[in-house]
Amino acid sequence: MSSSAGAAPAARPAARGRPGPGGRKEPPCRSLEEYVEELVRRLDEGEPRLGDRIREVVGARSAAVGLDEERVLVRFRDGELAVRPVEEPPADVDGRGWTDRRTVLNILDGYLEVTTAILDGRLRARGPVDDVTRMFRAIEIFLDGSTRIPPLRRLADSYRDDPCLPPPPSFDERHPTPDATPPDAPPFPGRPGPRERELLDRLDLLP
Amino acid sequence: MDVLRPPSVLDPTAPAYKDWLHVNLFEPASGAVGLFNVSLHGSPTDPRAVALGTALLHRPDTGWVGNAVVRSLAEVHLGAASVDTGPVTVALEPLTGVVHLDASLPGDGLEARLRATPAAPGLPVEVPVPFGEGWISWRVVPRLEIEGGLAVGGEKVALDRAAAYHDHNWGRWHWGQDAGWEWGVFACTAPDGPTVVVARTTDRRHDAHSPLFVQLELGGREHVFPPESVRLDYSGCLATRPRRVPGAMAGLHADRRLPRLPSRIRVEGERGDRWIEVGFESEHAAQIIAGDPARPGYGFIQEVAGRAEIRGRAEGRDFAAEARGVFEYVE
Repeated sequence: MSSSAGAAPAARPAARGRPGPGGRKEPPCRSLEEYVEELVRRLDEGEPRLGDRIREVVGARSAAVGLDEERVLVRFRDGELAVRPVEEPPADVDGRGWTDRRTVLNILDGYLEVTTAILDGRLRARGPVDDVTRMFRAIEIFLDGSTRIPPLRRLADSYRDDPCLPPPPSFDERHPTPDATPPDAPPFPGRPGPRERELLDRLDLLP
Repeated sequence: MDVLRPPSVLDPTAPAYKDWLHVNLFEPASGAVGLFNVSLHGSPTDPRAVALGTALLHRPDTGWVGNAVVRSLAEVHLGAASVDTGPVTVALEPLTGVVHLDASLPGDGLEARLRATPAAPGLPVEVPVPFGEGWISWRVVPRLEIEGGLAVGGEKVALDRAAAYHDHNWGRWHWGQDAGWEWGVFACTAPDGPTVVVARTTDRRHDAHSPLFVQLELGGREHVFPPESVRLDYSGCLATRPRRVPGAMAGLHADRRLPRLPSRIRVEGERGDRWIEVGFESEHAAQIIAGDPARPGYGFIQEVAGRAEIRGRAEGRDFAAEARGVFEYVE
């Protein structure tokens, strides 16, 4: 399985350490590298069992993760997170994923299904089936952990309100939700719907 | 008198604590069905415990607006009978039963400041019912008069023909246990129009049911039909995608994005010379995903909004009315 990773934009310069005005507590500006570090740190502290599980799932694999213009290379070395910004990921990276802020916020706020984002090319993943599956499994571990680890939920809020990033889309930009339309594919296994065929065509997987 | 029912510090079942205040709004001119709910999940002494605030409103012309927010208990204001999550607040006046609602979700197209006054005293059903590995109990007020302000997408909605429903549920269970429920309210908002409430607990697959509770409110009088004389049937399959919140939980449970929900529901009840029939047509659904803060497990609370026809006889008269309604299917 793979999905069109396309050419992600070049890494943006990190904007850091902006103070909040008038004593009001504002979330800090964070780079993608810092968000990844915070995710893993908060997961490890909140539920060490899940920290162990994510290391077991990804093993020694590396992933190039892109969010808007930023791109980082992520892996665990002897259980320790190693994450660093890169302009171009090495050719031997095991998996690649890319999305943008609007897509992340629309998913977090319930305006976009992950499946729809993949079908529409707004969430892209590429790599061998097993490696891509493990990338998504790692994301699921963070999401599951967020139900029981308040600092993970606060990190999502902090990302939404990050003062160095564009504000969330407005109501008019999100409504009506694309997912409010009737399903374009049958709910049970059958012939692929039009959007699934588009995706397969994009990946050159149609017979 | 009604208040929240938090566990004592000595309660060994406190991690399974659940408590919520729920209000539905029905506005016939626009076809609006509103769901306002604040709920508490987990022991109040557990830093992982959460409050979930939900404000969703469906209209046939606009679809769903609103959203759900999850907050740690440390981030919310709790009163004896109120939960203020910030964006969504429900507060109950313990002695009068008046319910106050605030929803401030302008980014999600929904703002409301409402006051709902019971049209009849309601039924204190407060008998704990086995539920999963624990129990559930509730109070229900089928019909309330509503006043205040409501805006959808920044546009005011007239409420002069609107009515509301309220219930309060509490108990001990963990989401993900072998438990579910079916519940619905179908309300004709015209003066002296009928309101019908149905409810039963189930296992997670909805194969086993508790006795069905069916209540009719008509002209300020309440009638409960005996379980042996009532019937709830559903058929068809709703062919629209539900709005799913909170979004992070929807992302985790992509396999639940197309739940099998009924497109038609029928309720019947009879007691002496009194009888009712409700035919409900589903229009659209929302799915609220509740994660348990104390241990891994999830509940899927699916709210189906639609239109209904209510027929029957009670209080010495026949009645037939069009209504709005919501049916909740929980797995």
